[in-house]
Amino acid sequence: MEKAITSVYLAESNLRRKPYRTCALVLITFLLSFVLLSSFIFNSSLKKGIKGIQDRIGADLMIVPEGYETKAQSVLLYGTPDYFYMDRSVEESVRKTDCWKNVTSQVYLTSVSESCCDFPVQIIGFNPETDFIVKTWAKNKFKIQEKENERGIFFAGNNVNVEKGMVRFFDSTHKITASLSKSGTGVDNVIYTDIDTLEKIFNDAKQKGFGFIAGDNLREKVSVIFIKIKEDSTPDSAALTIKNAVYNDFGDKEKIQIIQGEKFVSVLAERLSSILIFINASAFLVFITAFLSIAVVFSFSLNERIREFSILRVLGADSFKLKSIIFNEAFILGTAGSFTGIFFCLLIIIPFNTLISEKIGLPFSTGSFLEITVSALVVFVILLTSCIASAFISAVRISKFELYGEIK
Amino acid sequence: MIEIKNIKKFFKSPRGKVTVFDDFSLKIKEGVFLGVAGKSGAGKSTLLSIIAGLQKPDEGKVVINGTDIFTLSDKELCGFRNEHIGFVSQEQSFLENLSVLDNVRLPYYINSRRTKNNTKKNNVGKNDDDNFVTERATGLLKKLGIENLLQAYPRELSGGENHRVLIARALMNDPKIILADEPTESVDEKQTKEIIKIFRKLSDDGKTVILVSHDKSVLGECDKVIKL
Repeated sequence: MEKAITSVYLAESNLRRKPYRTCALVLITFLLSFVLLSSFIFNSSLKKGIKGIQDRIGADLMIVPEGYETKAQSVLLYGTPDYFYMDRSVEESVRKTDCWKNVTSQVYLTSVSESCCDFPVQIIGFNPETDFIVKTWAKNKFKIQEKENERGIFFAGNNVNVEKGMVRFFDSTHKITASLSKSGTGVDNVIYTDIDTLEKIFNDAKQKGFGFIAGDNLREKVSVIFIKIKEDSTPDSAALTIKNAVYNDFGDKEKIQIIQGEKFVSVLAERLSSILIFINASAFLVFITAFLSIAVVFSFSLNERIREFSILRVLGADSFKLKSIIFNEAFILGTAGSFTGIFFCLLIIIPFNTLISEKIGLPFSTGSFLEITVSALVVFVILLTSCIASAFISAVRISKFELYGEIK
Repeated sequence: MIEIKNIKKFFKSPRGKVTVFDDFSLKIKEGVFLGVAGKSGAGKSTLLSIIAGLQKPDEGKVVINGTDIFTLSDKELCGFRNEHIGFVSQEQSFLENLSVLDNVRLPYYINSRRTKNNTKKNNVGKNDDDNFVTERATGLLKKLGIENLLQAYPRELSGGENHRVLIARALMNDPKIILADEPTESVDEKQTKEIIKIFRKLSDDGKTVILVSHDKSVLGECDKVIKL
């Protein structure tokens, strides 16, 4: 059966008749939707990434060995396996002061081989009794006491591939106590365990011929000390008090660096805002260019199609019908371009978000499925509206022509 | 009945104002085969486009079967033209990307008001309506001896076939009035005779045919000829 000749049918056949023009317009809308959705995702993911760090650090002050601030950033922001240590008694010196509310420490253990385990290993040992950083991000409830404690605690970062709740290190499998919710930072690639278990893994590895860069006597070392200060203290005064306390106990023997959590994030936030300005400005430029290009192409193509519209007019098409053909063409182009743009944008950005994060040097936390779907829908609506708006001038022009002369 | 009452039509040209019609009146009875003759630029095609409501006269009115067509809104006028007037133009005036069958079916679908009304009036579903349109278009092409061209495209048609398809398209909505603007231009004598025979038959069947031509032999077949 023959199809009814609707405005959509006419629009489709017009688009098919000019394949190069159609492809060019689809390409423009494709680029526009790709850039718009990318900028939406980048904006929200980068902001979420920074927020993730802010929330995850959860400490007002962090103490690292002097000169290791950058390495601490690498571990916390990008999950780059690394290690640095200072004497555990630094933690005792901090506890002697009266400016803290919570103090806990972590030990970073990095394998020298990737063949040992399910993935390149960055294991962080933490103290479950004093911890106020890691446990709060566990997705499911767990018991530290009783049996779990005997077997050791294993918290898996959100990106860690855990099969059937187990993870393998040095031929020994360990049950994951809980997965941690996504942060968009490097800690998503980390396994956390308690200090006792960390020591067992360390010794297991040694026996099997694998090495960890930690030197001897893991129990005597810490990598980072996290401090939550008392409400009546300020980060600056607390940092000074702690620095003096550590200096009094160790002198020049143990040099430390105190990083303020807020400043740690604010440097990133500044970098983020300059990147966002660039992204948003680029998206805006692409949007304007694409909008004008579509409007110009429609306008030019209208001149070569006056004869076609004249014929329709002679046959009894009113201006509404002519407009609807033009708008349907814009709709089809907008739909085709935005769907492909959205598809390719998601295909590139979602799987490669870790790589993107590394390349731009900022944490990147993609939103949930719902958030991305909403962004894609918003981009789709913007695209369609832009295409229809750019066809509007042509539609108004066509309805004002006295068309019969054109077919003579 | 078509009544053209005291129309005036001017055009602006680089040489100044050109008067095409100055207080021109004409009455055309139903079922008449009227020939319109005149030199180039005399206003023959302009007269047809005014009757079809495609160009508005500067003054005067056109009344078709009691309807003053220029008092209608754009939408109403297009609906009126779609229903009551079939237009056969001088040249290939097809949508190149549609087949011959689709070009002939086009007038039925091009006015949304008409499509809706017909479906409602005939109390049929949309598919039945599409079947009806296809059958009618096929029937017209068959009547005009070109049913073999159903799936051909306009670029594949010869001069004579082109005019026959244009006539089929003009008849799609079974209009009362057929306007033909030099329909035998660029076809040979034999085909001219065949085309004129078709118009003659249409007129005999009660349709009003207004035909513009330079060709005396064509005009000789008309019931009446006016010279502009």
